[in-house]
Amino acid sequence: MMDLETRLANALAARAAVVPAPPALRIPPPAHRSRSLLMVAAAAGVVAIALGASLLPGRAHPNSSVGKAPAKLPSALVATVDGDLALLDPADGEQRVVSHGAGRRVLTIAGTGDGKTFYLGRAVADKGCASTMTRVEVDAVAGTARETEVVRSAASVTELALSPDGNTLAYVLNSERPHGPRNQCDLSEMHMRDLRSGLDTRLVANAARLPGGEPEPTVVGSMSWNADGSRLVFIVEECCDASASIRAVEPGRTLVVDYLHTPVLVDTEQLGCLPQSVVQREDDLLISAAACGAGSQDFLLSWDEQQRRATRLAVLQSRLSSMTYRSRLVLAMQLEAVVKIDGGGRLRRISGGYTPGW
Amino acid sequence: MVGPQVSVEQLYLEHAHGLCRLAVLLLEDQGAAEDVVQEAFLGLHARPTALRDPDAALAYVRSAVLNGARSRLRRIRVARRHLQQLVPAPSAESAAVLAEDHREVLHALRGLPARQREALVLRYWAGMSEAQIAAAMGVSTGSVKTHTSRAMVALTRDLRSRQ
Repeated sequence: MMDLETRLANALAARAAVVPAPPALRIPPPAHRSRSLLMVAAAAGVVAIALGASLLPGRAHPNSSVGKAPAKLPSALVATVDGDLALLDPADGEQRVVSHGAGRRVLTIAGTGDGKTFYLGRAVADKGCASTMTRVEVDAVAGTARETEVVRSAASVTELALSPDGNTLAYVLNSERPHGPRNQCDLSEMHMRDLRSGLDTRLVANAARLPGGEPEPTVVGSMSWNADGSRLVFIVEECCDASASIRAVEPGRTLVVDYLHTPVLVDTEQLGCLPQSVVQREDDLLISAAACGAGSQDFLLSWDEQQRRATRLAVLQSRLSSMTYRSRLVLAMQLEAVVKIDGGGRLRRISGGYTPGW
Repeated sequence: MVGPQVSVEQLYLEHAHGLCRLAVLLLEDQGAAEDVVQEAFLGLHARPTALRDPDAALAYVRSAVLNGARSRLRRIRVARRHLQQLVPAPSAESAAVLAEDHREVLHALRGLPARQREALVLRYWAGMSEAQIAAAMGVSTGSVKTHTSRAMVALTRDLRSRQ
């Protein structure tokens, strides 16, 4: 049973998360002041338009290799609940254990697409946020995997996404707030790491503050690159599963430091559902969404960015997490099973597992 | 030594949403919360000297929001005597998206006296220290401790009675 302080903090955070932003400030006074306010508002509009234009969603690059199905799909890597790693053949779901994780939980996996090199986040202990990010080289013939530590952090590495060229790794670090509940890792920063130079930059964090000055809890969920690596989309959960938005950054073109300055592609209100995970496909965003409509069902949705419209592809028995996209196929987790999703949104369970990376 | 003077508009952009959330947690009424926040910023606008120090300006607005919310609650209590109506019920939208446990806790919280509720919201939502809460509420740290402790006892009793 949760203690009262935690229940109280969670309840207040959940209620606060669904409070809409107030309307603009209405200051009555003198005419010359109203005019200067108008000028400020007009200038802000120009900045917003310029920022929006620079971050307009891009279509898939026509020469991209993604979309042309290869002769054989590369192997995916799957973790068990105990932190063991297994190579997964996405064709038939066959698994082959390549590493034993000594009980350290795997939080997330991302692959380069060659079926041999992967990155993963592992918890350091059962409690707390501390984790490591490791590079995993799999030898499929020998049935072994070698892990090399890339980053060790007091924060939790919960999301990873490798750019299509394999040179840039986007990752999310979740830490405790200075005065927040213990072991609640709900303050996210998104980082980018150039894997050739090792240069690490913080891409996005949340500058919003609660009235006392404490950082506002914000968690970045799913992340997905587009086909030419120009755009990264991600989900921001404001708090406690109450509302979320899918946002985008263009890491090569814009320097973004605050979630609030990233364009919203779609949010809970527009979708009528709570987005749980997202992948960018050539023609749409594939979204796993929870609590849709009056029946509070979970759906797999296709979001058309041009038409700004969602199409239901499938009813979900439970929420999908860790969706990963390659060669027109999606691997995702549903409960403790890996499911394969084809272009039309049909789901098929292919294997057991905990979190897949491709 | 203070930093550069800020504008009311800039402060509003950065803090109005957070303060509106604070007001909603105290009042459970979006419209009333927005009014309280607007009035607080208009109060700041009328005191340009308060804008010389951004921290002091924020502290001023925060206290104004607390005072405004308390004043509204007092008016609601007066109205209740005539209308037999408790503090406003949560909106249908907010109730729909909150988990059962969250609703229970928030319902219990609404039953607390205003000052006790303020102390809990500032501590467990805004993450403020006892000294910060005391400054915001305009009371001593001893009073904050008393309000918090009594509020937790009352909440525990209320939640147990529902089980």
